[in-house]
Amino acid sequence: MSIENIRVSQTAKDQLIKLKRVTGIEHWNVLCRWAFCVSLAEESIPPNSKIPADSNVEMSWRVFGGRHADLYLVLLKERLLRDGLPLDTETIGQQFRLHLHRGISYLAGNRELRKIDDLIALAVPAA
Amino acid sequence: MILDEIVLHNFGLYADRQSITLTPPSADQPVILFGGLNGAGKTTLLDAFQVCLYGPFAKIADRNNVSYQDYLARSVHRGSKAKEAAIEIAFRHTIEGREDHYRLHRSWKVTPSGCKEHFQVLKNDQLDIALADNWISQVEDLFPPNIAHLFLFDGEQIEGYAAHENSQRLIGSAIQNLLGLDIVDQLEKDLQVYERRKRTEEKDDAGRSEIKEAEATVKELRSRIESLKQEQAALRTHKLDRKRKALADADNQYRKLGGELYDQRTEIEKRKSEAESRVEEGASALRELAVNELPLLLVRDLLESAQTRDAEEEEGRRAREVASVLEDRDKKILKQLRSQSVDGSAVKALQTYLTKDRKQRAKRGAQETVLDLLPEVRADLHSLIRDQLESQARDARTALQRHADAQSVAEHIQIEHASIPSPDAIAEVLNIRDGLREEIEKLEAEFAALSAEIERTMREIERRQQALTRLLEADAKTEAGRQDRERILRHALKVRGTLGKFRQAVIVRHVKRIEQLVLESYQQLLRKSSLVTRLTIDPEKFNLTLYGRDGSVLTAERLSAGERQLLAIALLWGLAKASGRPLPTAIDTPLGRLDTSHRMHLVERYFPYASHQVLLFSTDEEITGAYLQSLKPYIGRSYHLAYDDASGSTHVLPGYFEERKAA
Repeated sequence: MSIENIRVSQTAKDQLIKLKRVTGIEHWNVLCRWAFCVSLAEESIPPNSKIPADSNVEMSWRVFGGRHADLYLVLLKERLLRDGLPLDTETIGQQFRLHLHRGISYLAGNRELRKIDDLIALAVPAA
Repeated sequence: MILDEIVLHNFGLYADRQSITLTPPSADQPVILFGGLNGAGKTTLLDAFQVCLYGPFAKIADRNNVSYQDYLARSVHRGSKAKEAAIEIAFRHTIEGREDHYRLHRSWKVTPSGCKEHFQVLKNDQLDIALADNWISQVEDLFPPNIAHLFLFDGEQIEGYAAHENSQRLIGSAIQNLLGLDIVDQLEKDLQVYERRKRTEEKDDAGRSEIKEAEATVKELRSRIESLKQEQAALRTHKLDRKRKALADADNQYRKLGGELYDQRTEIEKRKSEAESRVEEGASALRELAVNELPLLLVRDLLESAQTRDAEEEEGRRAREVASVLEDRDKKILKQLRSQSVDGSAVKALQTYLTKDRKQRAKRGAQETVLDLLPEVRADLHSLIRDQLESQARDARTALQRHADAQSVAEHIQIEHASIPSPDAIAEVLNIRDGLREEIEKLEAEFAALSAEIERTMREIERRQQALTRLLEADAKTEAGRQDRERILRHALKVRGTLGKFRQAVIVRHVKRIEQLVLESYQQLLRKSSLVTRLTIDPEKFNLTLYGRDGSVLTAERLSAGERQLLAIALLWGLAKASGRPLPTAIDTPLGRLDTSHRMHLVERYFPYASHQVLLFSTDEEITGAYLQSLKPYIGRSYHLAYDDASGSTHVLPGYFEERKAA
């Protein structure tokens, strides 16, 4: 039960473009990792919505996850278990998609996120 | 002095060796008479005395511009083959009661290179070389050359002295010589020469003028330094200080406009770009960090709960594995117990227990494997949670801090950079400031140049001062010499004054005596003894004044020619007496110029008494007849100078003219 391919929506692509500009991070996959984790950190379950796969930005799970690709799947499963959602392929795929796009939207919409520092600071908030 | 003998050898007209005895036979017969015609050699004989006595210093009548050498050469008798001649004189001189015999011998030989003269002196028959070598000064004691003319003279000279000026000169020089005043004169002359020399030394003494020059130079240099210093001070106050103040104002202005920043713009820009690159580096570092595990920090709790779940799943898997093994085992144990006939109830209890245990275990094992982690994933998870996440967090915080710092630095520099004024804004002030700087540089150079010149001049002054000191030191030394000189000149002047006074006093004192002697002599010569009653000689001009019977002045016109000549003779006689020297008198043609009336005066009243030895050289027309008769008692010896025309030589023969005639 793993995800093979990821294709984001056009909206998400535009957002990713903006994020690229703001943070200076050049690779989609790195931004997607951050977006995914941002959404996972959010307690609420992302509302169900149809997200079109209408951009040309696509990547494999390996590319998305990098070194810790397996862990990202584990995280997703753990989140689903916590949320009490079934771990079937469809749910996994759908939930992943929802979390990813929610994360991208959060990051893009975050007015405090103006430079790379602000992104990093999300992970290490000032003591 | 008494002349004893004269020997002529090839001298003048006298051929060969001819000896003439001159000693008066007695005190009453002092006259030695020589007779000779004109040109026979009378004058030559008289000259022979002088030549022998005085050598080159002899005053010979006809020897005007002829050199001594030539005279000697000419005096060699023409007929002589050997070309050599000699004159010998023997005389006696008494001093301090002692009588010395002298024999002088002067000879010469004509050689191609000139005349070789030989002179020797025998004193008391002993050859005296010292005497011969110093003869010129020795003869002063015997027959002083400068009064010789008072004893050895001729008729022409008598006539000459009869003239007024000549008599003046005669008296003057005689007085000089008799009184030894020629020495006083010589001393005066020498002093003058000495004075002149000392004055010349003074002129040569450049010391004084050199010192004055050096002093003037130093003074000039000092005033030069003064003016230089003034120039420098003026430069400072009027120009330099003003410009410097203006520059300070310009600097201020420049600073106000941000000039300092403008000066540093390159540096600021450099720092700006450095800061900017550091900021960029920081951002890159952060981006690098973003790539790694950082996002997982956001879901740390999820990771931890996954880890817990995984542990549970592991336990369940183990429990399931153990359960099947236990089931087998439990069956075997129960079977074994039953076969061992163990108590059926115990076995049943055990079976119940074991079944319960298995069920409990089974419950645990019922855990579903959801995550189903692979061992490497498990390890990754552990590693993350254990330390990786922490260290990443630390790195992230450090990097954030660094980046934040870099950014604040860049911000500051940015502000600085923004404050840099544009070149236009400050161009004018910059120009003014740079212009002032240039001017100040020039002025400072001028100032420094003046300082250097002052320095140089000071060194020059020191040098000159040292030189001056040296000059003054040297001068002090020559000062002694100078003072000496001054003293000498002062004294020399005084001495000359004293000498003058001395001469005056001496003359005045002795003139009286001379007046007396001359008057006596004149009165003796004159028949009219009362013609002249008094005679004065002016001590300064030496002119003779006669006073007649009535006490009035007898002028020259009142005397006849003869009386004037007699006066001349009286002068000579008086002066000779005044000399105090008992020297022989020799007169050549004594009566020649005298008129008849006065000749007798001389013959009767003079010749016998002139001296203790009187040599008379007469022609055949002078001492003849009555004169000869009158003189005869006093004639000690008489000779005839016979000239032989054929041989061209003269021979001295005893006897006077008449006696020969008689013979």
